[in-house]
Amino acid sequence: MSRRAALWVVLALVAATVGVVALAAATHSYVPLFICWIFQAPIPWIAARSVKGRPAN
Amino acid sequence: MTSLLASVSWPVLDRIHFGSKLALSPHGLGIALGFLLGSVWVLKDCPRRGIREEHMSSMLFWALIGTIVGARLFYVIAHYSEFNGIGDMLAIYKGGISLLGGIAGAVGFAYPVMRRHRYRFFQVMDNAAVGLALGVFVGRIGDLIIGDHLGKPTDVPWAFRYGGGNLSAFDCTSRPGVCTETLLQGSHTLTITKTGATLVGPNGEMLGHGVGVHQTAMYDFVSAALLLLFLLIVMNRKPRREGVMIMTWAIWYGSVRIVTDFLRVDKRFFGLTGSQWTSIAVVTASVVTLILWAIRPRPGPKPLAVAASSAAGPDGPTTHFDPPREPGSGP
Repeated sequence: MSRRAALWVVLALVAATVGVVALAAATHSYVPLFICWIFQAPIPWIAARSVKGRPAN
Repeated sequence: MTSLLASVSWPVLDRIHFGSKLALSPHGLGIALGFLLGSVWVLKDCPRRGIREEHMSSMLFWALIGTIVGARLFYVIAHYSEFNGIGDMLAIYKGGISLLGGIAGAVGFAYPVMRRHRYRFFQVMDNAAVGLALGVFVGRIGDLIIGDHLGKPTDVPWAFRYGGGNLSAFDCTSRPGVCTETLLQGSHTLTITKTGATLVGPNGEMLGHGVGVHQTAMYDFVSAALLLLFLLIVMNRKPRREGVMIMTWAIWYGSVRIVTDFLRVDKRFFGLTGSQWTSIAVVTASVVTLILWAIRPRPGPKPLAVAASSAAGPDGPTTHFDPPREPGSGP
């Protein structure tokens, strides 16, 4: 996965999480909120690919 | 009626019960997941900042202990008058922790390990910036599930309306469908029902009413999502001076807390909450430091061309070059 693709996936996962919170409000149920953690769980691994090999300072 | 339809609502879940004796708080689960996922990022990112993974693991272990101690300690200090003795203060399972206190505790406990391994403060904290944003983004889901950090009554379209369940720190059992919380040592009463919310002052005067209340944890959640993307997409685009990442995090998160804490009904000191005073101090220090760094560039070795130019004088060549001698040309 390229750096750019990794960032797009992270962006999609963050958007999906926010969308699921909206879904909880729309359905008047707390159950979708637990699904948020499923979308959030892969973020650190995928985000790490976006900076791999890049100098930090 | 329009605002009632446009509000946000779900029944809250304060505990997940496993039988009659064991229960798990989604709030605690969210914090644990937030710390875990934030730590994964920190461990993945630390090698490119020159930090060994085993050293970072050690720092994270002490940061975890510091988070628990600091989160409770800051809350107890800010709400000292509400506790009855040391046993009550130590009963962390009853709830009552401070996010900023947790971060301060984590830094305080990890600092000696950081220094022992001869890492620079900003070297480690820059590594933590994205992890902190991710941790808040994940952890706030737990607050949304239990209905924590409910603020003042409001009519905004995103007002949080009570949808059933036991709200943390509220009495939702005395009157069905009505949750009340006494605040600020009993002087204020916040009442939330499925159709509206009211805040009553010490003399029974109406201080506020609306279709629901501000869900400040949701504001923090959205802000943390944007901050996470900003750090990853914008700030990580090119190498930055050490300290810029963590101060960007501090300015963003602190500024949002200063604003959203005005929407909370919380104990105040000279008009501001403990978190607001902490945030003001951190944001001010970070802004001043970044301005000073922008005015006065980083000290360090001069670039080669500039160094050679200044060594040769204003009229000299910009570079110095010694051609190799011809074979047999003598000394």
